Amino acid sequence: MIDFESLLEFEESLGQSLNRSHKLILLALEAKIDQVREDDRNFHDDVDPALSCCSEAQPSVEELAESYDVREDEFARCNTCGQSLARAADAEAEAEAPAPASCCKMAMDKNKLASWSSLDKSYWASFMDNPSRTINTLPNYTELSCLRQGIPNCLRSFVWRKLFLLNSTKIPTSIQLVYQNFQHSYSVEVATQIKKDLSRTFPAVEFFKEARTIEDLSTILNVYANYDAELGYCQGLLFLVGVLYHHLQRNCELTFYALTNIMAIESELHDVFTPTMMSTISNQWANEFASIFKQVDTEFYTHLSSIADMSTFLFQWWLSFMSSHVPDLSIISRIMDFCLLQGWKVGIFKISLGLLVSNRPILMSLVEGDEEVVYQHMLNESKWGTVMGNLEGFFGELLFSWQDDLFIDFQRIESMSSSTSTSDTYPYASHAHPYTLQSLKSLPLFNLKSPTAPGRLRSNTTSTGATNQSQSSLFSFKTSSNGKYAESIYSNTSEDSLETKSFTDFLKLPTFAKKNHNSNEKSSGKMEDDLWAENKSLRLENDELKMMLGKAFALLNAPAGENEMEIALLKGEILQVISEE
Amino acid sequence: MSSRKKTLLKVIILGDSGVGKTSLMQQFVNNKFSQQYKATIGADFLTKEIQIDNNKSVTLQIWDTAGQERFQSLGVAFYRGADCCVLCFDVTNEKSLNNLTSWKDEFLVQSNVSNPQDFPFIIIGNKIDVDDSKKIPSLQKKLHNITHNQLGGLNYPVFETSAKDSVNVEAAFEVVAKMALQQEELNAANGGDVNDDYNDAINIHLGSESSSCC
Repeated sequence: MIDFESLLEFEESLGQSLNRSHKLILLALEAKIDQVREDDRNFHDDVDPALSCCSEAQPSVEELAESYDVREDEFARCNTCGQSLARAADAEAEAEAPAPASCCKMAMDKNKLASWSSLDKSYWASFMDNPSRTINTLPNYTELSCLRQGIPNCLRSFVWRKLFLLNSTKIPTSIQLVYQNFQHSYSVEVATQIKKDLSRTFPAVEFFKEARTIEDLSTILNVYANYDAELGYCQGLLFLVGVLYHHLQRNCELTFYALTNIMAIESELHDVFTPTMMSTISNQWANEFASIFKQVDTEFYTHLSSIADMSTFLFQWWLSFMSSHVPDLSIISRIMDFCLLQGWKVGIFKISLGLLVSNRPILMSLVEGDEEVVYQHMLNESKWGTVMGNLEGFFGELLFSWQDDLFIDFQRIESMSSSTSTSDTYPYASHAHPYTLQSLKSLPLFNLKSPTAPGRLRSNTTSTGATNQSQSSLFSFKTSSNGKYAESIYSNTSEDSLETKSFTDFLKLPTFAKKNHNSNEKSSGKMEDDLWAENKSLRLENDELKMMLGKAFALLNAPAGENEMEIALLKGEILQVISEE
Repeated sequence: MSSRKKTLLKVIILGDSGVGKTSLMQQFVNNKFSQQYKATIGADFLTKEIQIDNNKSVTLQIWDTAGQERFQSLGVAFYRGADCCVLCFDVTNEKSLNNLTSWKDEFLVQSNVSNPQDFPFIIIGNKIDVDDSKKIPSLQKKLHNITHNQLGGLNYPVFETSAKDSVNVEAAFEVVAKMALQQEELNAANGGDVNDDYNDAINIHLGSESSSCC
């Protein structure tokens, strides 16, 4: 059962404590939705959305968690020691072998349903049921459970599948046909290149040495080269496709669809791998990245750019999806989780920035003439050294220490004088940033199909009708050719009834309303409900405090001086909770 | 040049995908060979200090590059300030031999070196450990044609190596180091920063006799 009430309450308390906008996650979701619609429209798939949702029995979260066998997942590693969990599981199974380390045991427990809170179970059940609605209504929770904590290994396959298919249960017929009918007339040059790279993308991983894997990946990439002649095949793609294939459980058509989907949504990501545009886009990205980096940490940026040419390592990182020299496969899964939910360009930008910031102490200690030390470090696995063992800190905190707008508006900011208000922070739920609409149209990050301005409606129950009214003009849909689709997910966004819409309407909950809203009309029965709700919210608050305490404890144990940014962040969060009382 | 000053020589390894660029670099720097090298994306990089001539100590900075043709366009970032360029081919792959000229040309376009006519290149034919039957037929003749062709030929030293069995790798890189050192001294003597962008890339590409014409 999905406990929507608790989910929403927790979402709200998370929203207050995290106080972040989720533009990137929501924009990425919109781009996906648009793409799925586009595919449907272009190829006249006669899928009744109502039917497709329910036509196939979906495995429940419980079933998924039970059917998952960590011993078959080479990407599952312990977050603390990096040990393969498959090996740890083997050790656990054999009575005579030494017991796995306690950190590995904990990591394995994360995949066991028994260790999950009922709230988490609800979240994932809701996600499986309707991913787009879940992300849209619970962006804070999504950020927490998919990005900050990382998607649980036992659910990753299914969650990824859902992220590509959204609410549909099958890939578009057209893509299926392409995949089935393009398996011939391979270009000799492309096929030879693919063959060379297959054995040397993840050379140490058994999964990628298996004949079936090699055969399948070769087909997927060759078909893709036939399908997308402009790109063809590019070294580096295998880092993406290989991981997709692994996590999508060897489903070739789905992997192929995932690849086409990613490339169709992000035209720049596509172009950076084409022979004609590689250099142009890489350099453009390097400039954009530099401008973001400069804003985040001017001193560091100035120092580093004076001693080394950053594009030397940035190109390697970007063209291999950050996966070329990574010491631990679980990091790759986390990288992909991160990019799948927020968009690839943004994702790799954030991770690049995070990697640089993590290495700040080392890089700041280097001086002019140390160029080669910089390259040596940043091109090889050692750059991940400070991240290893602290994946939670890296993915959970550092990568969220920047406002999303920094990555959305950067082109704009660059051309703007510093006196304007672009650096304002936007309190949660007042999402009408004056530049949002313009920046969306000129958005370099996603190839947004034109008329779908985000009719996102996450107004929480406390926001007033007046603010919503004023937003309705900003966020209203232009009527468009795909209007009939537009209704399905963001229904009614442009109507006057806007202010009456809330979370609950979207989740179609019959009675839930926040307690201070119905305080006037309490019957004795409601009193009990309220008491119950209050208890619940106290428990949730407790959960939240526990989480913060856990973080604070981890920081206390970390060597002093290294986590200043995280400490500052946490201080802010705690202060906020205290001041709420 | 002061002998106490650390001499840094930048060497670029180019060549088609899979000819063994990474293996050569690893064999030379770390004396190891593995079947498990990853495909190089963008560039990788290792350094090694060696003694040449009269016990002069130099540091070779070796840049290993991606072999797929489209990555050539990113070369500017990696080729800058190069002192020597190693052109690699695979003795079992004729296409990789035929592509040497285009690797060289592209390098000169992108690196903007000051003396394109006599910039030091060397050629390495790798994988000589492979069975003779798989090698390019009449390799020596083809190689000779390429290296002794007066018109735009690659008149450079040739080494045949096996990165796998460590045959000739040291010797090749010793020559690389010497050539690179010469180039470095030449640049130092000219005093100018060779990386200035005033050179017209097209002139360099064509290798016109008079580089001062405009």
